[in-house]
Amino acid sequence: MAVHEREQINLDGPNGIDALFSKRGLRITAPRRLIARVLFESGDHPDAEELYERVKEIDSSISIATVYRTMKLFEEASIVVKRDFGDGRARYEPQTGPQDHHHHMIDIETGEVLEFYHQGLEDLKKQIAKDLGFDLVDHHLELFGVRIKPKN
Amino acid sequence: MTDKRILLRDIANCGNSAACHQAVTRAYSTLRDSGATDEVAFNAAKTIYSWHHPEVPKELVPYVISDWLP
Repeated sequence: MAVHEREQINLDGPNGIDALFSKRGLRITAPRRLIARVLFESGDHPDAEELYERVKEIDSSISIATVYRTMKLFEEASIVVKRDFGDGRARYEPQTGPQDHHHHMIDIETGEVLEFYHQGLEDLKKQIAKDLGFDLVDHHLELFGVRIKPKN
Repeated sequence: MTDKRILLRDIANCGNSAACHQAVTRAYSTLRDSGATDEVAFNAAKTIYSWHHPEVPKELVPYVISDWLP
């Protein structure tokens, strides 16, 4: 089991944001580029309102409607994935590719979200699907828990 | 996720002439013109949309009205 480290991509490089937009057939605009940059540079899982607050610090002309519209577009283009951590908020994380596959451990007391990868779990899920007569093509898993307190 | 996306597509088809669309855009622009912040105007617009469409889950409302607002 390993704590998952998000893949760092050079947002301004040849495989950066503009290339990603082109690959997914999205028109490049300044607001879209900024919203994507803020999300990709986030180490957490912001919802649209949190993203808006961060984007507004950089460019106050971008409206909250633009952020919601853009996130909807990014989700449809598979640039981001929407996550539900059980608190009624739709949170986002960048989707960089299959190599970035991971799951989430959510601390229900603090809301902290840890990303992890567990090869044994991956193998088990494939085996379960196989036993049921399927090839596994996708899955996601969110674990909810409380921190184990030290005994003394 | 898929279910919600289908729902969003299905509910987002109120045209420009629909009462909800007009009420939402009018409220937003009136509030903005009178000096309200973007957040305040957007939240008011969400409330008005929900009044017209109580059947639409609250978490989907901002995505629906975002297509109607600047």
